[in-house]
This record gives sequence, structure tokens and C-alpha cells, in this order.
Amino acid sequence: MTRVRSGLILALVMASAAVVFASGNITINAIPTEGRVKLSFNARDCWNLATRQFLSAGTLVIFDYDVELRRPGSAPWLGLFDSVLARTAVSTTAKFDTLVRKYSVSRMRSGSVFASDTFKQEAEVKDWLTTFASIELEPTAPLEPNAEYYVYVVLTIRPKKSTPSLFSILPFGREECYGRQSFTYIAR
Amino acid sequence: MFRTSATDAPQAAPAPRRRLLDNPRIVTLIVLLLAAVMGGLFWLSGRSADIETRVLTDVVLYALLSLNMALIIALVFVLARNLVKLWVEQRQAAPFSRFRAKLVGALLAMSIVPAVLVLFSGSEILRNSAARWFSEPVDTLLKGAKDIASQYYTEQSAVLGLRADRLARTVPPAAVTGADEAALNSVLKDELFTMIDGTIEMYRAVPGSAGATDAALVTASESPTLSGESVRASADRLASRSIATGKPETAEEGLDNNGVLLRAVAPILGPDRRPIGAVVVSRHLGPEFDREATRASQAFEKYKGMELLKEPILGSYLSIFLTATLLILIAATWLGLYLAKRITRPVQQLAEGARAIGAGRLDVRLEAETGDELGSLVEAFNMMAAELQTNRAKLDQSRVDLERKNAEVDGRRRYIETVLERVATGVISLDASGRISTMNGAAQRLLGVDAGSLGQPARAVLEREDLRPLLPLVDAVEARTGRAVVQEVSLVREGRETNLATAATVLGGDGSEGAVMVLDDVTPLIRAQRVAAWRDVARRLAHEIKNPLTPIQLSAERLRRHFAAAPAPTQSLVGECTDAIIAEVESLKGLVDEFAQFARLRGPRMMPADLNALVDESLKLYAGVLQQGTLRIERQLASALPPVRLDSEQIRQVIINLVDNAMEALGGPNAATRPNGERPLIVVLTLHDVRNSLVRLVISDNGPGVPESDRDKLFMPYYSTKGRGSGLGLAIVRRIVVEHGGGIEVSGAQPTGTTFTVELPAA
Repeated sequence: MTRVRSGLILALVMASAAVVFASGNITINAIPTEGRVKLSFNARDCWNLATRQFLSAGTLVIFDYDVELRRPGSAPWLGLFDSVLARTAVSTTAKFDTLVRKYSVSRMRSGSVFASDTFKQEAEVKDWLTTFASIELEPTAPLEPNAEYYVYVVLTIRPKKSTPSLFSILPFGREECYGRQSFTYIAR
Repeated sequence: MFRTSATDAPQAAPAPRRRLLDNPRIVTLIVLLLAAVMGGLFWLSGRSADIETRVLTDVVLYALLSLNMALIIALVFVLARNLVKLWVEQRQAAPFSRFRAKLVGALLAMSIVPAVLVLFSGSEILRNSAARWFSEPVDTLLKGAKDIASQYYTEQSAVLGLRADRLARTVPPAAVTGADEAALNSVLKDELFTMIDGTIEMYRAVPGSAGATDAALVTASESPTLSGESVRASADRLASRSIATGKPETAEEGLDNNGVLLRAVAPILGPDRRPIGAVVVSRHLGPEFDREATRASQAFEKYKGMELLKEPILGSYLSIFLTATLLILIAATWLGLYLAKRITRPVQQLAEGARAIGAGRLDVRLEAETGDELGSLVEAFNMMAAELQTNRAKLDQSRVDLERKNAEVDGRRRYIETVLERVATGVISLDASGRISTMNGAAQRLLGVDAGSLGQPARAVLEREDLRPLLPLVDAVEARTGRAVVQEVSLVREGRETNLATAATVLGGDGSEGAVMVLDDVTPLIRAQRVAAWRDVARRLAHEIKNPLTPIQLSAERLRRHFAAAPAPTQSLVGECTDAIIAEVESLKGLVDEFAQFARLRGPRMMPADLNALVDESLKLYAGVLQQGTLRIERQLASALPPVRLDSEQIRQVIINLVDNAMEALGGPNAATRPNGERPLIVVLTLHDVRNSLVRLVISDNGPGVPESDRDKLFMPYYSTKGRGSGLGLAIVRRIVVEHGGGIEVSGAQPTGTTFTVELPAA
């Protein structure tokens, strides 16, 4: 009886973990093509009051995105043993000039700015910060036809308004926003 | 913990591992490290205001969190480890474990409770202080200053926009398209009068590359504080964009250390409502205003940013505080545990050392870790242990000496016992109560008692019928006169007489140490004396009897001759008498000869000889006699018999005497069959006793035997069981054997008969 109950609880935990990893609050659109993966995503659901408060206070707000192309491993519901085939880091920044009431925004990849602009509307800033398009991931190994892959995006927003807990220093304690998009690679 | 003395290396226990924290350098290093970390924390808290908020909340905060996590783990580890050790020590009932647990508990409470109280109260104070950082007046003030500056910018931009729009409407399109600079300047001239430190640029649309429309400057006014050429490029871009989009626009351009340039552009529309040009109106705000406005804006932004980051900032300060508290806690906890250990360890060592000494390990020495009173106690313990060890060594030496002396005494005692056991003299020791303490084998043999008599009263043992003659000795001992009692005693047991020369001596004068009785078997001596007496008698007899025999014989013969002519009756009477006289004289002569031989037996002339050959030679004499008879002589001669030094003549006489006696005992050569059906038999055998280096000659018969009571008398002169003869045969045999250095014994044969055993020393 105890064994059945333990198995049931384990199954529920695994199922809930799988549901969490399958959804997330970042919407990803990944398109595998010619051995590469092109993707776009938006993290509008991660836009929150604290971000707006920091922006309106003139604080530089940074959205760091870690984008990874992964192949599920032996324990796909945990994601710890999945192999990472490609990885890139992109960031968006926004700062509101409280004097002239304009937003200065920029996009960076690997620490280098590749786009910048100014906006007057917060909605534009929101789109700028939370939306990325045409990001290309080139895997280190060729994609295998009919194999399952997924794109995993983690967003870290800085600064944070809340005090981090002791657990937040652990690797698995810092993911606030994330998204996952699975796909099957079909070679053409 | 403790060490053993170097002099007792074999017993030395392996040197205990020195604890890391017993090393003063390590302790100093740790203290310095803690001090450095604490100093760093104080420096960090002092410089926290200068650290950028982002660094403080992102880097410092996470670093402190990590450090705190590590410190908490370290604290929990230190506490758990020591508490578990204390628990285990208590479970094992280790010495001083309860005392140590109490001490550790008290020290931990003294360090942890204040630290935790300070942490909580300090945290609360910090939180309350943080609530006052962001007050409503400051917020209002900063927001007001920022709003004023911002509003000014906004208003100036709006005014410039309106001005640009008005100018765009006022300017004649033809002047623009025709690039009539004079007409345009006249418009600008009036406008510039209403502007403070501003510039106006007018552009006309010109065809650009790839079908696009570009802006070409027609005319421009100069600012007294700003060179138009230095900022022309941005004006060109604004004009081009406005001509392209047909929309007005405002922009701000920061000038390096020269304030800010506010711009507004408005398209100039042609009759067909299409942009034919653009007007760019700019207002230069000086560096002083820009600086103040920027400061107001930055102060507001910083203030609001800090307000928003209040929690992380407070977290950073709390983390610093927590880190300091944890460091103090760890240091205090460790110090408490260390002090508890430093206090209890010497006492524990003393207890363990005392236990080790109690177990006999006197080489244990404790290591004084301090020079205080505990160190003095340890030194005193070591001195005590050394003293004990020295005394033990002396005792051991004394014990060894004593054991050696005991061994010597024991050896001497065993030697004396052995001597007493081997001597023919019987020695009996009595204790003070008259009980037999020891009795050597000779005494047991002489008295016919066994070792079971030991411990019994001597009187009870000697009450036996045959030992009663010895009771006067016991009486003398019990009388405790202190004088030795000497007497000769004759014991008769089983018909055999044993003559003992006895002496009893009381030990200790008053008999307090018991007494000693000495028994000497003087039977052989008595026998020898008797033999000597007999020899003397024999010699006298031979001398006194033999001399008159010849005249008697001659007289008898003379009488017979004298009465030869006498009447027949007389002659017959005389003849009978003289014959009787002569026969008796002859008999007396033979007797006298035997006595003379016994008395004058010469000493043996010994030479190495083969006893077996001598036996064969002697027994050949009987071959003829036994040829027709029923009696048989069987010889069983040992092979490889060593030569024996003997007088062949005398030993032959011994063999013949003994065989003759045996034949006579059996009834002669034609002896009848024995009652048990056995054939009359004489067995002559020789043996070699290698161990005693003896050669034995045994002559045994299956005749009727000799009663045991008569066996000792057989060798006495003039003793015969045959009722005839002189009785000197066996006495002579015995004398010959004794003079050969040997001995002769008689014993009964099985089932019947007599056995004579002659022992001669091998050559």
C-alpha cells in the first residue's frame, strides 16, 4: 500500500514538473531549418509592476535572456541531464529619461549593442524589452532527423525589487521567467 | 593525550596526532583571517553608500548571501559535530563528559544568546532606520525639482514646436522652393527678436539619391553662444526626416559640457500640401541650467531607484550584519568549545593517566599544555608517576632478587631432598605438634610406610606393632629435653630383623621448630660384625679343636692296635669305639677345615673374564651327573655380555655352591617331578644391566623354596636348612661376592623355588 502511494506521489510530482517545463511564461516560436533553429519569443507575461516602477524611476532595466537548444536526456522531466546543443545570450535594456520623458532602449548580444532606439510610449518599450525575433541557433552537432529537441529560454530581469533568499544563490533558484518549445526536427 | 617515557620504548604507545588547533600559528592565522573578514565587512559597510546600487544589490548581496550560507553551514557543522561528540561521550560515560557538556553549554549560551539578541535587535533597528530613509518631504521635494526641470524642458520643446509650426505656415512657399534667402532672412530676423539664445534653419526639399527627398539648407541664423556649424548635422537629419514624413518633431541634443540643444522641426507644405521644406527651431539651454536640471533628475532617479531597491539594499546591510554576527558566533562558539576543551582536557588526561597507572602502566606521562595551575597539576602527576615507576622498578628488582634467592633456596632444598632421598639413612622431620612433615624414601623403606603417613602424628604411625621399638624416640621428642636421643633398635617385620641406629633431635632447643629422627640401617654392619665374630670363632675353633684331634685320632688308633690281640668281645668293643672316635675326629677335621677355609679365605685375584664362559665351564661339571637324571639345568646367557673383573676360581666356587644348593633343594639329579607337575629345573642366566653397569648372574630352581623369614639367615655362618654340613657354604659365597664388589640376594621363585641373584660390577 505504501509502495503504491509512494509511486502515485512520484508520478504526480513528475507530471507536474513536466507540465511546468512544458508551459512557462515565455512564448517561443522555434523553426528548425537547414540544420539551424530560428526562433522568436516574447516575454510579455514577465512584464510586471516592478519593471514599470524601475523604468518610471529612471533606473536602467535589463532583460537578460539565456537561449538554449537542448535535446532531452534520460530524465526529460527534470531537464538536468539534457544535452545543450547551442546557446546564446541576448539582452535588452531600457532607461527612462525623467527629464525629457523619453525611453532609451538597446539590444545586445554577447555584450555588444547591435540596436538602439528611443521611445516615448511605455508600450513600445514593453515590446522592445520582451520581444525578440530572428534569433538563430546553430547547434554544435547536426540535428538528427525525427529527433525531439526543445528550445529553452530563461529571462532574468534586473534589478529586482525583492530581497533574494538564500536559496536564490543556488543555480536552480534563480529562474523567474522561462519558456520551452519542443519540436521534432524533420529534415527536408 | 598522554605519552610514555622514552626509556620504556617497547611499551610506548604511538604518539597521538597533534590537533590542528593546538598549533599556535594556525590559531593566529585563523584569528587574523577572522579579523580580516570582520575588517572587510566594516570597510564594506562604511563604503556601502559609495557603491553603486546595482553592484550592491546584484553583486555584494549575492556574495554576502553565499558567504552567509557558507558560514551557517560551518556554524551548524561546528555545533553539530561538537554536540554529537558530547552526546557520544556522555553515552559512553567518558570521564568528565557531563562536566564538559555543562561547560560547553554554558559557554555556548554565553556566546549564542547575546549574539542572537544583538542580531534580532540590530535587524529591527536597521529596518526601522530604513523606513526613515525615504520620507514623504524628500520624495516631494525631489519629485518637484525633477518635475520643474522636466516641465521646463517640455514647455520649451512645445514652444519651439509651436514656433516652428508658425514659421512653417508663415514662410512663403515660393521663397522656399526658390531658395530666396533674402525673403527668408527677413522672416527669420523678426522671429529671432522673440527668441533667447536660439537658432533657426530653413531647408528646402531637394531630390535625393534613389528617388528620396533630401533637405538642403537655405538659410540659418547663428546663436551667440553656439556655433551653428557644430550642430548642423543634427538639424539636417531632423529636416530631412520631417520633409520625408511631413510631420513635426522635437528633439534634444546634449552638447558636451555646453548644455543641451532643444530642437523642433515643422514641415513647410506647398500648395499641394506636400512638404517642400522644413523649419528647424533650436533653443540652447546653457550648461548651468542643464547641469542643475540633470542633477535634479538624477537625484530623483537615484532616490526613486533606491526606494524601489529598498528591500535589496536593506538586505545587503542585513547581510553584512548577519555576516558579522555569524562570524562572531562562529568565533565565539569555536572559542567556547576550545576553552571547554582546554579546561577539561588536562583533567580528562589526568583521569585517563590515573586509570592507566591503576592498570599498571607506570610509564605514562602527561604533556603539560599550559603553565598554569593545571600545568602544575600535570607536572605533579608526572612526578608521582615517575616516583611510582622508580619504586616499582625497585620492587621489581627486589622481587627478582627474592625470586632468585628463592630459586636458590628451592634448589638447595631440592638438592637436600634429593640427597636425603638418595641416602640410605632414613630421615623423618616432625613439626612442633609431632606430626610427620617429611620422610625420605629410605625412612619409608626402613619403616615400611608410604607417603600417606605424612601429616599424621608420628606416634600414631609408630604405634604399629613392628615399629613400636621406635616409640621411645617419640617420647624423647615429646619430652623436649633438648638433648639428642641415640639408641639402637631392632625391628622384626615378616620374620626379618632390621637393626636400626636411631637418633632423635629436637629443633629449636625447645622443640618449637619440631624434631628430626634419623634412622640408619646397621643390619649389614651387624651382619659383618657377626661374620667377623664367626671368622674369629672359626679360627679359634680351627686352632683349638684341630690341635687335639690328631692326638685323639692317634690315641684311638693306638688303642685299636693295642687291643688287636684282646678277646674278641673286647676287641669288638674297642674296635667300635675307636672307629667311632676316628670317624668323629675325621668329621671334626672336615668341619675344622671348612672353618679354617672360611676364616682364611684369601682375597680375590681379579682379572677381566667372560662370565658366560665361566658359567659354561662350571656347568660342564654337571653334564655327567645329569645325563641319566631327571633334573635339568637350563642356561639363558645374555649375548654381548661385557667382561667382568673377577677371580675365576672363586666365582666358579660361587656358581658350583649355588647350583649344588639348588640340586640339593630339588632332591638331587634324580629328583622327582614337582608337585605341580613341573620337571625339576635349574635355570642359570646372565643379564647385563647397562644403566647400573652391572652384570647379573641368576640361579633359580623350582624346588620347595626357602621361607621368607629364613632367607636373611641363609648367608649366616653355621646356618643350614639341610640339617648337615657346616652351614658355611652360602656365607663363603656371600663373602666372595662381596669381596668382588658385588652383592647377592635371595628371593622366592614363581610359582615355587628359590632364586639367587649375584650382581657383579662390569669391567
